[in-house]
Amino acid sequence: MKRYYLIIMTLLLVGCSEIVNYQPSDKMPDIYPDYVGVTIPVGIAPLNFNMADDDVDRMTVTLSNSHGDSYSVNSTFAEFEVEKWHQIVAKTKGDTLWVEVGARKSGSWTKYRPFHICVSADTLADRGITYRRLAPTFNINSIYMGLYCRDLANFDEQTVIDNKLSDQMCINCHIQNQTSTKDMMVHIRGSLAGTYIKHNGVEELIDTRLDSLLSVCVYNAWHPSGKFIAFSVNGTRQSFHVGGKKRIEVYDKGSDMVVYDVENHVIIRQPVLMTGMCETYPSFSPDGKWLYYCSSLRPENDECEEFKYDINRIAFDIEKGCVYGDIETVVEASKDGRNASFPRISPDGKYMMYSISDYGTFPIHHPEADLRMLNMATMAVDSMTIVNSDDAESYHNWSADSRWFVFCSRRDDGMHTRLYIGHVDSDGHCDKPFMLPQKNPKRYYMELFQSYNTPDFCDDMVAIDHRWLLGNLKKGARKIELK
Amino acid sequence: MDKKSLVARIMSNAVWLVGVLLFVSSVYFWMFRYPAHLAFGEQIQLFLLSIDYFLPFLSYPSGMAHYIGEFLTQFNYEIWWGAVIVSLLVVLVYVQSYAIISRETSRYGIVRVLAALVPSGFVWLFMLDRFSLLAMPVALVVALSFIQIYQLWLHRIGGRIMRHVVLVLMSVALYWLFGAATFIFGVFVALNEVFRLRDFVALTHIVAIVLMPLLAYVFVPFPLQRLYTSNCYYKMMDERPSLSYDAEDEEALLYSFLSHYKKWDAAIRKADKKMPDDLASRQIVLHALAEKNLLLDRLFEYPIIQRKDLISSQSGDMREPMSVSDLYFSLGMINTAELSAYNMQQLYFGQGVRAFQRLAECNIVKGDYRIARKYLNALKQTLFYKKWAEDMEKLIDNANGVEMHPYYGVMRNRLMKETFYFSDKELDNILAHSVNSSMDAHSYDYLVAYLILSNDLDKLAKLMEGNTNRMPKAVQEALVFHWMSKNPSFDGMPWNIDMQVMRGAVDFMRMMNEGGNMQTMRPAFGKTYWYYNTFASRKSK
Repeated sequence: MKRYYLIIMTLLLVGCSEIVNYQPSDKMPDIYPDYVGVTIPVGIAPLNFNMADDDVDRMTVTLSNSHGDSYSVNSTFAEFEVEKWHQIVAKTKGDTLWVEVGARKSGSWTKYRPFHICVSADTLADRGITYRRLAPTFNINSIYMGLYCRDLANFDEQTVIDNKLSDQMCINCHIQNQTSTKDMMVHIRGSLAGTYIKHNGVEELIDTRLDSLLSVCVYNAWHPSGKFIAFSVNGTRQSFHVGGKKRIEVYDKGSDMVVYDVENHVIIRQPVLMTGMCETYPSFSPDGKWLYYCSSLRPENDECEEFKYDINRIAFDIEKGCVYGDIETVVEASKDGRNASFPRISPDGKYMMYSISDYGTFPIHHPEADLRMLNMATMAVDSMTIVNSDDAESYHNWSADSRWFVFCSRRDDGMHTRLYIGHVDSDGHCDKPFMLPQKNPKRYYMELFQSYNTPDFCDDMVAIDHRWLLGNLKKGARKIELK
Repeated sequence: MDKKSLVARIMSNAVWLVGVLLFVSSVYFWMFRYPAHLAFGEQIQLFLLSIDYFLPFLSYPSGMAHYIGEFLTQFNYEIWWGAVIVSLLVVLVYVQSYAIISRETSRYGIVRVLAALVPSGFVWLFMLDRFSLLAMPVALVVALSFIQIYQLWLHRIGGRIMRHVVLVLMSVALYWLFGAATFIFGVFVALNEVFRLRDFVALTHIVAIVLMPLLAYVFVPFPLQRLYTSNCYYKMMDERPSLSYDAEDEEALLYSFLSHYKKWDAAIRKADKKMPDDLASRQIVLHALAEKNLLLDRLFEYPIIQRKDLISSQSGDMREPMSVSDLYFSLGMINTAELSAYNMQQLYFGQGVRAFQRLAECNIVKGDYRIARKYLNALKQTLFYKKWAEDMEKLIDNANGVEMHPYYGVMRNRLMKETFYFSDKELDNILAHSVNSSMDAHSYDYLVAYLILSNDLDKLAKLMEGNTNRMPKAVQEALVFHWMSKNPSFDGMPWNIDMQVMRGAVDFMRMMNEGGNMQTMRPAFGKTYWYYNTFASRKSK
């Protein structure tokens, strides 16, 4: 026992003596992910990080706050214990968490200038996020595609559904109803196909193939009442760039909008939104009185570069499940030769976040794609410079309390989309977003060859009973009538 | 020694003789008759030497067999190693089967040998399918080993109930680690105990076999059918192995192998004996000719060449389309090459070293080093691609290094700087832009060949304006044909055309006017552009 004690003490002394002999640096540490100056909510999983330099083999990290609390770790990367992390972050709520980093490279230690992490006074109301993960191409159903649910308080991830059920299964366009998991839907494509809908805990599988529509139902939005889902039907096409930075274009050779009546199991035509224009990407206002969507002229010869979407809205009759009245243009991006898509209204109704790009239907494939935030009261547009990057940003969604948003960005390596969470304060100012934390982020993201997309907050962890689903897919989904 | 005792001695040693013969014939078969199947299996998997890679294999039934199978398959990188490994498994199954049978009965010597050949023969047949995985033979060897252990020791475990409990637990562990092939252990134990000891409690082993996949169904999200058959034995989840020798498939995979390793002379030599029927293989032959600067001289030497044999995106009717990416890469169509590599991974349901190498190459040539680093990082964790990945890593963030590199420097020069949408109908424009941007002979040859095979002679003539150099045979034939269709004589023809070609063109026209048809013209003109234009290309339409 004495011998072990001596060994431990010797190791500790050796470790201490190394750290004492550090070289001070006036620079901030170059860490991965870049958590310098980000804003986080209380309750978020530990923001573990690595030094960007692969040659660093040891790190010491000390977290401290203005109340005198501190927590130190010494490891190959900054790996915090979940409980201790939560404790210090909770005590720093509405304040600044300081992070002091020492790194050992080639036997010598460097201590960097401390950086800060802002702990917001706004808590995150939702428990987790759901997202799809798949290979970063779209022309064949992806291998190992799945929908997953991540607990934001730790690193737990559970499978909602993945394509282990069938070789050619494609799972897409899932969504909760304003983060509530009581209502959710997922499309399943392939030899076994259908649209899974859960409403007030009751599950069903519907078949939306109807001859008179352009396609099966595609992009979607729950009506806040849960009684309706607005769908677009899209004649989706793909083109592939032979050279250049962009690789793929996804666009619609025509698209219309319909509304699915969840309780009466009928699809209701919306003639006003089934025109020669391309209407897509529905989204309801939080009060359910307006349906927002994107609209573009359908260019001659379907030239992808000519698709320039504006964001419109039209009144929605909650009793009949129909739109009515005049179409109002909310964001006229085409006037400036640009393209607006994915309108998402914050649940408090104050802001609308959307993607802006040069053209096309899928901004995520465009490096120039950025997020914008429209103040619904003043109609002022925030260019969100602290949120955007030189690579694509898209697929954004709001938390239930309208203070946080999750989005996809390709800034990590230019190809694989990763998830980021950003904060909007009560005055509508955005803070620097942070990458979805992982236990060993550098290793995790380096070894992940899939992209994230369509993230959405969720109030609870979700899973779909794959046996129930497979059984019903084999039996055949319920045929839906068109009204 | 008299004849009778000699025969008896031979019979007694037959098991070893058969074993040796089996091993030798198997090694010969896999090395010389079916090597491309071994290479294919290695190229479509990515086996990493890391604990993180290993642990997920323990989370589903047959995962350990899957892992060991992948571990062994990586050695197919050297074909002879792969041949020896498959052969050893085949022989092991035979030897173990013989030992098990012999322990049950010492009679029927030759019949025992023949019976022991049945499971090993099945393993051999099973591995003939390109998507069969070594996990199955590995699982079978393990199951047979446990049967042998049962015969030697386990059956003696005292206490009937205790013995059955131990054996059932063993069955469960075997099933989880090695999958459905280990059911034979439970079946053997049950039959042995029932018939030898009249112990009908042993039927619980059969019940266990039925229940184990049902139990696994609770824990893993696989369809029940796959838990009864172990999906890790076969790459394609919803299909079954063919269990038959497929020479055409081997040929397609062999051409793909030659393309991957840039063995262009071997591909041409093989095609000289017989031009393949498969579209991808035909494209590889023409690609090989282009790499050896022979494309335009020998374009019509092979029977019934079509434009799609040169380049096309139609991979649906290809037996082995991985080489499509090689072709696009060589032409500087990097995004298309990259996309093909992704498609191949999706088509074959898994990440593969060949696709990863291509994705790393594409992104190094494009200068997207952050992406390249990801793929190289994975390849550095493999046994056989570590060195390659480390060498490639030196090109990361090293524009000068790439430009000076003997191969990737050329590829970067060929890189298409402008963006175009890929389209079969626009390939001539795409190739023309490639030629204009890189001034590269390889792309130029493809453009010229494309115009010739498209019978787009106006464009060809325009491209050749002012060119007074001696041109390759196919170009001369096409230009002469073009000239003759618009002029009464060769007078004023602006190109340097061989006298022999002009004579040939005149002869061709004369014979056609005399009523020549596809059959009568073939002996003299079957390998000319004129024949292609008049008969072959029309036939294809």
